[in-house]
Amino acid sequence: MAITGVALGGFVCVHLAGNLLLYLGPEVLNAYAQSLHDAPYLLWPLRAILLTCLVVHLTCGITLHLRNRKAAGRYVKRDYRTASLSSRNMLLTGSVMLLFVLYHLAHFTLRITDARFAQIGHTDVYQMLVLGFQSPAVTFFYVLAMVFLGLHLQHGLSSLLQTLGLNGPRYNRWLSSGGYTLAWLIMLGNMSLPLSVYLGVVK
Amino acid sequence: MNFKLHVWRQRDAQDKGRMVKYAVREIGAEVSFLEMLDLLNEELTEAGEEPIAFDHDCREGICGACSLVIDGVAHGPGRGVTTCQLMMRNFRDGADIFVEPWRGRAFPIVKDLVVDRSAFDRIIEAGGYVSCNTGSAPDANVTPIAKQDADLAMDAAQCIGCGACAAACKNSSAMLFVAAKVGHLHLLPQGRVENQTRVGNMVKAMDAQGFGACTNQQECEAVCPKEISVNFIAQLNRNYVRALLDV
Ligand code: HEM
Ligand code: FES
Repeated sequence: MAITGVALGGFVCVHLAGNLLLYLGPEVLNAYAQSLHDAPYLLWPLRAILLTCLVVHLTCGITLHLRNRKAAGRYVKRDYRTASLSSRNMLLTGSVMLLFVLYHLAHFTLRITDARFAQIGHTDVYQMLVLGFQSPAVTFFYVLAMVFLGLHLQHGLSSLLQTLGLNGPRYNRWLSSGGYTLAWLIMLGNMSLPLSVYLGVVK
Repeated sequence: MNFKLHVWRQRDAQDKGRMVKYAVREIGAEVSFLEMLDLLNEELTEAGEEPIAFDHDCREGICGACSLVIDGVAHGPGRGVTTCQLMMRNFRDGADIFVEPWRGRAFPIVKDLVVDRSAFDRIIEAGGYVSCNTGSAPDANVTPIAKQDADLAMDAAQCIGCGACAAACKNSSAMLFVAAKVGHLHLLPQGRVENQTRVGNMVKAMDAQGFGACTNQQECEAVCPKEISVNFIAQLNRNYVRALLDV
């Protein structure tokens, strides 16, 4: 879970960095998109690795959940002292992420959910985003999905070093608050994109 | 002080079990939680009813026998204390108090609040020991141990094997228990003989007993009466990888 999680989280970071080019204008963002499409020998292996990681992450996650549900005791009354909301709902937040990724791929990669995208040039990603986030429903769904991403990453990023045994008492406080901060930064960064298009900051 | 208790009653392992309400009255604030149950049991016995069965032995926080989930928290509202050291002054007068046994597939209920914790014994049998010569006691200081190692090993060795960690865990994982035992023995020269095999064997035994897997929620550390740190779990994970890679 931790190893594939690192790979997926790494993708999310790179993906966000790429998308933030939106703020630098159409030329920069579209040039970046073009450069990715111009390098299929890089893009396709990366996509294959990403898909593999996603499938492994999912399979391990579901197996882990089923096993733990079988082991768990059910109390009439239960009160958690420290176990965070995010740590107790990883299957839920992960499942919402999966739905989001499927929709997101259909939306911007396959371009099958929005008829207007057919008229845009293949690499005019900027125009596609501006058109895509005119819709309040689409914008709302993206922003909502990012809340789930934030929650998923909040527990994921702050616990993976513990799983791998790569942390230590001297820097644990830093590592886990670093995980929280990174998760919320990624969430806010991603949220800002659809919001700034919808609110007209980016046209 | 007066309380309304909601206690899990279950005749035997086969019985389905249910919560039963009891009113306890005029309890002193300095009375311990188990003494409060003793008083209730006296009343029940006098009324010809079956007293509530619960585990206890030393009543001074060292044996690990007492094991109640009080208001949804293993060992109740105190920090770093066992159920037997919990005093009624920790509760609000007139409060409703929920009392349940440890729950989890690996801790089957025997009766009322008593559970079978022999799963822990089987984990210990799988690797919680050291191989050394017996006979007369060795001279003091023949085996030097660094102060930091001795201190850390003592921190882990505080585990009294009560099972609160697994009882409080959403996954019923016994990871903190196993980590404390492995951590304690791994840090000392006497335990090094089995270092390569111990982790794997104990983790395998934990899984075989029906405990869940750790997902780092740290609820175990928060309820541990000895406040054993989840750092030992990270160390266990490290040792597990080392043993796998044989380094
Ligand atoms: C609101 C924030 C996001 C925006 C605006 C956004 C935007 C985009 C765009 C424009 C593309 C396609 C570009 C192209 O192919 O021309 C894309 C691809 C993709 N996005 Fe996002 N994205 C966001 C968040 C996410 C998140 C959180 C994930 C989930 C982990 C994700 C997963 C993917 C995947 C898997 C691809 C396909 C990558 C590939 O095929 O190599 N996206 N995104
Ligand atoms: S009765 Fe011994 S620790 Fe509570």
